[in-house]
Amino acid sequence: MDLSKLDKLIHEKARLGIMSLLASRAERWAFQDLKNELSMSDGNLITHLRTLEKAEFVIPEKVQGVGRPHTFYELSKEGRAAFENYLTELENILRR
Amino acid sequence: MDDRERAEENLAVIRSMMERATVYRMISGPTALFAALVSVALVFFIPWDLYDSRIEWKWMWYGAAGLVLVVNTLLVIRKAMVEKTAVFSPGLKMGLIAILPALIIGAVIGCFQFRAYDQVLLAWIWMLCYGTALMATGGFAPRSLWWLGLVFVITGLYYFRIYPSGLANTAKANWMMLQAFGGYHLVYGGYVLLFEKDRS
Repeated sequence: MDLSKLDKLIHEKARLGIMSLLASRAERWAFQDLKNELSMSDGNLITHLRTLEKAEFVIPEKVQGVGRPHTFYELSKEGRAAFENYLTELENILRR
Repeated sequence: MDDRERAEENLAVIRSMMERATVYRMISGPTALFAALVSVALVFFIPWDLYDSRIEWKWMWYGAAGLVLVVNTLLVIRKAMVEKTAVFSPGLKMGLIAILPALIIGAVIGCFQFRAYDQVLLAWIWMLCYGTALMATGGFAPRSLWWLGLVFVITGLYYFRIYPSGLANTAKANWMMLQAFGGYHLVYGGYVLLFEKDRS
């Protein structure tokens, strides 16, 4: 078993950070909170989130409340399963 | 860097992210426990016979709420300093927008109502306002906080049933406050500290 078997989408460090944050809570994350936690620029974060969205790993939702609209993100079932598989693969590598 | 080292590095990234994400829970846990402690201290260590006035009762509880607010604020500031992030984050702003309306309503009603059965009426109103404030964070806060709010609302509605029955007095109001702001916060704080951390 080697790293080439890991999910390339998640393996990239920025996306790994996004997936880890989203997997850490059952609740959604606001875009601004993800940005703050990851110290990423808007453009960079949006690019990675779109990549994950295309793979159907994350689900975005735009909410218009008081003030500016906020976009929230959460893991889809597929995203959570892929993240858990990724963790299992990492553990397998460390057990070798 | 070999596969093992890269795997270790990636696991470290995941662990770091998950620890950051749990900080809010770890703050809300100690704050809830502190609120419970203050409630217990207020009910059992204040010589209420000497202060059996609806005005003094009210301001004692306002003081307790203020103390809890100060502790929570200090924890939020400490978190921001440790993580080198802004204190007034977008998440905090959203949280305040959600909880402040109901909290302000409860505080204002308390300031301006002076009827003879003030204490029980106020305890009941504060429970409903506080519960509603917590439930308003349901869209983005930890689910356990929403459930805590629901329990406060249900308790407030339950007391609505017995409220007109003439049981209004300091001891009764203190019991209501102790049960809700003491007991429920104690259970919630314990739950967060024991289980939410493990879940992560």
